Amino acid sequence: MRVPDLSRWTLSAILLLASSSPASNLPAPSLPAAWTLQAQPGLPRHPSAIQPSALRPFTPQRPRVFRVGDRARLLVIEDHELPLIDGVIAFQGGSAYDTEQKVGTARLLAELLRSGGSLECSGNDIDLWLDRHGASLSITSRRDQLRIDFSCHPHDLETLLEMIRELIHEPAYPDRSLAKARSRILAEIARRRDDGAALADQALLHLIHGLDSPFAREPDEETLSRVTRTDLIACHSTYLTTNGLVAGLVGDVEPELASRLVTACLRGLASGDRPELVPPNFDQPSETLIYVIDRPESTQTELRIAGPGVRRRNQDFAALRIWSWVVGVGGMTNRMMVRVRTELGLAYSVGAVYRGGWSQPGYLRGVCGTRNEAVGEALQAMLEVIGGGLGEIPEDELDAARQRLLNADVFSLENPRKLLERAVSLAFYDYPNNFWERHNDRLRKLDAPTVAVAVERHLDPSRLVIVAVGPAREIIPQLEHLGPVTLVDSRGRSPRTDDLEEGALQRLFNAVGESERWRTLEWIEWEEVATLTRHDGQTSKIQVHHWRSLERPLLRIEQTIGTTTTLSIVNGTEGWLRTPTGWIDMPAEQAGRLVQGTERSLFRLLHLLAQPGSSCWKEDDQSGRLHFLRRDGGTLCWMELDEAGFPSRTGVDGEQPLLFEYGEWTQKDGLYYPGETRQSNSLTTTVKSFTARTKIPPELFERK
Amino acid sequence: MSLPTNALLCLIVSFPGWGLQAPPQEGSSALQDRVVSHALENGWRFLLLPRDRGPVVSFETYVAVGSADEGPGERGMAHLFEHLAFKGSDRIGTRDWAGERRALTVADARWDELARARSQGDPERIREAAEAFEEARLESASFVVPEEYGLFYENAGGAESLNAFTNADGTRFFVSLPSNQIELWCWLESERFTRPVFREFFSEREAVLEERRTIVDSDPAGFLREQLMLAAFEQHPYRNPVMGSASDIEAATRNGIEAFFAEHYGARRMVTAIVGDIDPEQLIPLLERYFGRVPAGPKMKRVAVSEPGRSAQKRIQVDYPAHPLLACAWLVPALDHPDTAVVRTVVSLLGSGPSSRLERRLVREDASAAWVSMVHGRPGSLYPNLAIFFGSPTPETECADLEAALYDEIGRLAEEGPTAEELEGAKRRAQVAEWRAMQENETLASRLVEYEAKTGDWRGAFASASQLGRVSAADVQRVLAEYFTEENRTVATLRDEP
Repeated sequence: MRVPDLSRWTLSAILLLASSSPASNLPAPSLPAAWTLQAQPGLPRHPSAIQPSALRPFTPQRPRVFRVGDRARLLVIEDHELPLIDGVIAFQGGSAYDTEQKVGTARLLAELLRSGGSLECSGNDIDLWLDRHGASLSITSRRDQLRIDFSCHPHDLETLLEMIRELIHEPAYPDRSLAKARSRILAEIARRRDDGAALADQALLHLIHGLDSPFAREPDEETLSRVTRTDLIACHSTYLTTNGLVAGLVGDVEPELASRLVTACLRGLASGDRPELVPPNFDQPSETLIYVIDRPESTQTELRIAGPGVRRRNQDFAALRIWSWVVGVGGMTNRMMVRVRTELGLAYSVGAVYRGGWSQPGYLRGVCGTRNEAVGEALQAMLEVIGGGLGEIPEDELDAARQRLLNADVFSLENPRKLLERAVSLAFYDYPNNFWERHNDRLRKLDAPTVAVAVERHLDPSRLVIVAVGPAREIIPQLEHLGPVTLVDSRGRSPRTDDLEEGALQRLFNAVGESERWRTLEWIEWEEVATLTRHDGQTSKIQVHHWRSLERPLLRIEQTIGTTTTLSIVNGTEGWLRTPTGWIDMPAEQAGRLVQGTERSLFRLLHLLAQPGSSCWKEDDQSGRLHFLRRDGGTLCWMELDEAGFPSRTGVDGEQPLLFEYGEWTQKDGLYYPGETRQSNSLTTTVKSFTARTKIPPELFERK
Repeated sequence: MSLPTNALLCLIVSFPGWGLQAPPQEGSSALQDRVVSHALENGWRFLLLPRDRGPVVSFETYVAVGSADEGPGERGMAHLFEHLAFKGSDRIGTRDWAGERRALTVADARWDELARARSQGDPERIREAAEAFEEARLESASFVVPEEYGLFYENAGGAESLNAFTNADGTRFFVSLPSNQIELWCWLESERFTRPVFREFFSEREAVLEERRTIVDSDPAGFLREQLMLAAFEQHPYRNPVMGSASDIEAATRNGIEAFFAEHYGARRMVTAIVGDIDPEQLIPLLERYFGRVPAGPKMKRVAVSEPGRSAQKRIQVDYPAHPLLACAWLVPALDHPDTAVVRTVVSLLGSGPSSRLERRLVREDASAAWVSMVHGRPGSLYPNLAIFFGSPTPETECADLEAALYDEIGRLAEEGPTAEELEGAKRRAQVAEWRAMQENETLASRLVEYEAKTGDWRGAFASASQLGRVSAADVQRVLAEYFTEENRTVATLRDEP
């Protein structure tokens, strides 16, 4: 195969074909300067001499939309060329909703719902029927979606939807099959560990989102063993509801018939509450960090590079996408492919792309598989291409990427099945129907300065996360000059640097409140009055109201000086500032600084320490300080305890200003909090109120 | 709703037009009727299928040169050519062809010197020769417009579909474009088979070696598959690895690949299908103009070597640090043999789909396998080939458990024969698979060239399901007894036991 099957964009455009002949606007590569050969008689001597005609007008099909009950929607696209129907029912659920103790619940649910069948029709009976009719039915759990996919001959649609109705309303979840389903899932996970590419992908998720992030974690024997039939039934009734449900049918079917049958299938389903899902954090390091997973037997090393990205609805998404098509995706002519594969011959598969998330921010993902002895050279070349993408891209290169994107998009429009999948995604994630038209309009208008500004807002080539899976002994020496290298296990965990000092931890949580309480906290809210002493001795009083997540980069700060109030919000990698004159986007650097404040805040440190088996700290025998460790083993910050076990100071070595001293501690919500803190640059704060919560209202962190 | 066996039968027969006697060609006859076949004087065959779904067209060219056509020292050349066929010609991909040609000649000579130095083993001479080669390689690269050939396709809208792949029987080149880019495709596709230049040879050779590491060396299943072919075929070149051998690729030269091209490639070995927004009447003159210039080249040739008969089972064990895998393969007839439809039925009954016998027993009931699958037509189908069972035991079981259960199920099927329902299900699945392949222009084009190139009749693309409809229970029992025997079997296990 000439081109590796890298993850591809499934994005597309509409109206392209109706617009002014994009193909005729192709940038024409110039003829070779010293081209002297005679052309074939009657044929153009170079493809640049071929002038394509305008593309004939074409209007893509629009799905018919039906309401199913109060809250569900059905989308139907007719295509009568062949006697086939494909369908999907997408529920708001998925593995990201699993509880920490029972990771794998959604996956087991999908597996057992399908294989266990309903009270009326066993899984084996369903299989037999499907096979006899050339039909298919699968149930899968994605991160944020529980999904039933099916296909059949038109004559079988009613029977198949009746089977699905029974699965939804009367699932069997046979207890005797639970162990087998668990075993199958574990065997599948074990098999993936034989695959260096899969290992690298999974470790990357752990490293950028955190080991326990709902968007990174995967089940293991322990978490799967905790899931009972009762859990599956409870999960079923929570997530298989009409709230947010989107169904779709495409193929040889009349829309009205489709509506009648799907309505009958879903009738009686509870409306339920739409579950909340907090977007994942991107744990961006303060410098580029390289993590190595040792795979001694491997003849090839898998490299992954990651940096923070955005949701598709973010205004910068189009710029990041077109930048990706210049730098690292879309065929063989992007910069990274030309440099790393064509010129250097270092890889078969290489690329980099900003993956836009639907409901949560995506991320920059670089991919490469290369021979072990060339790892350093390949990574350096990739980093140079990424870094070289900062600044303004030459207009002709930008135009070429734009045309590639827009011209390729026609293939998402002519195919009814792709059209339906696109429409279902838009509906499921509450995007406007004309999202892709607007996106393509934006693509058409983007100029080099706008792209450069957007990219610089999100890409910091000096703060990337890199994973290498290969023989550590051979590859680490090649990587060390590119950044700090840490050997980690297959889940991205550093080896423990020290045994836990149970005594110190016990003393701390005896003082500040039980560890279980701190562990389960998700966010805190407090109000304080800060007195800032300036260099000339003048003082200013500032009233501040904070909401801060302890797990994710979500924070909201209302700040009042005199009669002027400003509001700062950071949501993942995006940040906004509301001033008296309106909203302005916060530079990524500023958002990052605010988040870093959260990283090192006392409350977050206590929350981290309270996690079971926490290994993020070690005690310095000489100073008595607790050092909080970065994943590379370095110190993030430190904490000192007083005689009673209360934190008395926290700070950072070698960095200024960050030194907090804690005096009086006051109890509230079962926890102690410091009544007064003092920072070394003469900022003194007094905490007026403090609230610890386990639930986050997401609207607090939206720009409204 | 419960679905006992008799209820299933009732459901099946209750739908007019979709009963036990499903109408042949339902849904696809309109497509078949629109296919226009056209052959040029030089032997290049075209299959044109107009389809009004949108202003797009899919192109697929099948070149009847695959790894089975490679001789000693050439293993991997068909695949290497596939990569180099995107490097352009003397008119595209170069800034100055005259200068580049001279530079390429120098680089080739320096490579030969380096190879000689390496064979003599003098480190100092090797270092000097390597430096001289690298200098010459960079000089030749300075004339190149990187990926200019692909750039035209990608800018025209083919960025996500442009690709190619090679197997034992042939090589396929495919792309989908907006329908106003047909002439561009004619120019580029005819050019690469008329006056190709294998520039950037040395770096592309490295990329091919990387692909081999990815697909074979680093992938337990890929590694096992390659070892299985080497064991199963003693004489026939189906034993050649499609990815080639690392040593042959490392030793390949630009002159060598030019010689391989001259010996094997030409219009007489080409079949192209074009499906989508086209008008055959307007298109044929364009094809004549562009593709008529391609040299006819060598005639179609068939491999003369046949695999000797088997007298005993072969077994190999592959040590590899991964979870265990089992592969059992039987030698079965070529695509044009009447028994192929029966072999397809056997594979479908045993190991294809959730209700297949092996899936039900090994995965669902015994839970002794994490997964199972069964395929046929490997590594090609032009000649007698392999039907292969693949499976992986669960942590509680071993390959031997799977193997015993596999033979037990084959024995049962051979003794009892399939039920009427099982046969009907196999036929239905084949029919749906055929329709699915017709949904997309790309896959329909692929089926058309497959049947035309291998059987001489593209109509097989629309008839494979109906062929299964004629398979009886007795056919299944006969074929199991004839081909799925112990002595006709090759067994390969992969285990982490150095």
